[in-house]
Amino acid sequence: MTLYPPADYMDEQQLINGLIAGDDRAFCAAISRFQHSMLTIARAIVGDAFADDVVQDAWIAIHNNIGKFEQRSSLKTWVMTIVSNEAKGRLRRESRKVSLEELDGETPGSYLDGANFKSDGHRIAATPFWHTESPEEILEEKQLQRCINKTLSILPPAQKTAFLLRDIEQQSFEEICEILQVSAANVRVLLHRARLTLMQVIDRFQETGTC
Amino acid sequence: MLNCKDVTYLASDYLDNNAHGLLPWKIRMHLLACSCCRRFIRHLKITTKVVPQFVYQQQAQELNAEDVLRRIKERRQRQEES
Repeated sequence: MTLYPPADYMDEQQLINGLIAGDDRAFCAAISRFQHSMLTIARAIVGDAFADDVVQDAWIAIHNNIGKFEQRSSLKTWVMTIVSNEAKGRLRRESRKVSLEELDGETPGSYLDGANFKSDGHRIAATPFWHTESPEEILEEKQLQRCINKTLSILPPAQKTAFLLRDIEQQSFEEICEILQVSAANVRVLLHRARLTLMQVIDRFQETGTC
Repeated sequence: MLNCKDVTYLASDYLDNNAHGLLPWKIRMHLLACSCCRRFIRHLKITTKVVPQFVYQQQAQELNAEDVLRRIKERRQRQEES
């Protein structure tokens, strides 16, 4: 039997009712809606190795406690609080801290490399032109998508987390500070570095057609 | 007056409205005079629009909700048995 796509559960109240009733289609709908965000938050707190376990435990907690959900927040906020608490509980057992080494220095060859600027701070070379600046046209490039995925997979963990939480999950800077346990200024540095690395991938792709 | 290096460092803060006081005005003054930094900021803005879309496309391809549900049920059963 195919449970997915769960078209009946587009409305949040219907989804909550379905979850309370223990309907598998409602759980599939909730998984489709929240799983990636939950994994992002779990990875941010406990790292890749434990994130899957944490998210599964969070789903079990959601299943067990959905009847007590008072709807004083959105379902998403409630779900993210549960996964965040599960991850923090796991973190207490598996000590892990964000490495602030990622905030030190400038990567040679990056846009922030001092070698790109004259002594007065102006650019030595002009910013490269792109063949297309249309997001729609850029999104059609399957090879570029592979390049972006590859780059995301090798970004330093804290940079990747800051980028995923902010630009993918649209979390506030305050929430990201809380999750990463770093200052807002540090979150902004991590995010900027991640974006610049990804922009460099598009730059290179526009110039060479390869990663 | 800000230079290109300053603007390169401040670009995300500018786009995220995290530059406060006179800083946004100073950045805009530099951008009026510097086509390279205008292009740089424009490309960064496009990057922040395009990369999330790539990620969403990838995530949509990867997720199998029924498979995830099956694994959750198996884990719940193991927890109940232990």
